[in-house]
Amino acid sequence: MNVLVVDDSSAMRKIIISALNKTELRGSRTIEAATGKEGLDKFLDGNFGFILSDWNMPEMDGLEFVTRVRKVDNRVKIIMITTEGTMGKLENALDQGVDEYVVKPFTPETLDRKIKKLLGVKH
Amino acid sequence: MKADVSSAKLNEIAERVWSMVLGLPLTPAKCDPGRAEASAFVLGRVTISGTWQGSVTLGCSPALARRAAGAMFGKPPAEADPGDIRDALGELTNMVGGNFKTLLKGDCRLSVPDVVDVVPYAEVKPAPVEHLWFECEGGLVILNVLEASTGRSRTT
Repeated sequence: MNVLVVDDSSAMRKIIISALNKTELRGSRTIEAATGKEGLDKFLDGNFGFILSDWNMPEMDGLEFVTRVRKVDNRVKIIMITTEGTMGKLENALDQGVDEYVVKPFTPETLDRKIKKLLGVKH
Repeated sequence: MKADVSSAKLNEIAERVWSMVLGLPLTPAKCDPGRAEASAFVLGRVTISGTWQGSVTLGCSPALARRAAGAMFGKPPAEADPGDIRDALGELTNMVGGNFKTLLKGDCRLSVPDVVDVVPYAEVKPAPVEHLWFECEGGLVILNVLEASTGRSRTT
């Protein structure tokens, strides 16, 4: 499976990819994007099963990125990785097409639980 | 609007971020300007705008910043380059600032982090302020929450 990791922080992309290697998605091909726009371009060029996206990014934030992805694809699983823990905002993100969210800082186990839930894998 | 976040909560946020992301212990330390004045700091900063206006900064010694970058990227500290160090401190600051923002009332927005490579202690501590001090493997970590309206940091 191809996994798109969108985050303006290269540090966070590395953390996410390192954590992914300890989840149900280990062994997947990961593609990185540093902005929402770059993420959208790569998404449109590829065949992705999962997207892990930051929320707070310059120019195109994660929510706008997700909204644009959802205009063309309703099947890809999207996890928002964010420091945003405000329930109202998280509910809004879920309404916009985010499937799950992980609040930073997180452990690989937390990410794995969310991924398994979306894949329908029993714990 | 005044933030209503206790220093105990800020301590908890900083310790959780540090230990979960780096796997390193962060312990509260006594404020000792004499110890810091001779030191240089790498300083990360995020600003918050909205119903609360201000910034959150996280400063630590260049050696500790290098150690943190090594821990974050799974490499020996000596192999962490300046870009790794900036990325690491920027992300740590982003997480601490983002978790602080979540505790604020009303609608607030977090900036992307910026990191200043090496600054003197005077720039870490705009006087007169209170701020939170921590220690990690013998190095200092200083967390400031600065309200834009007063220019003073706040910890209660």
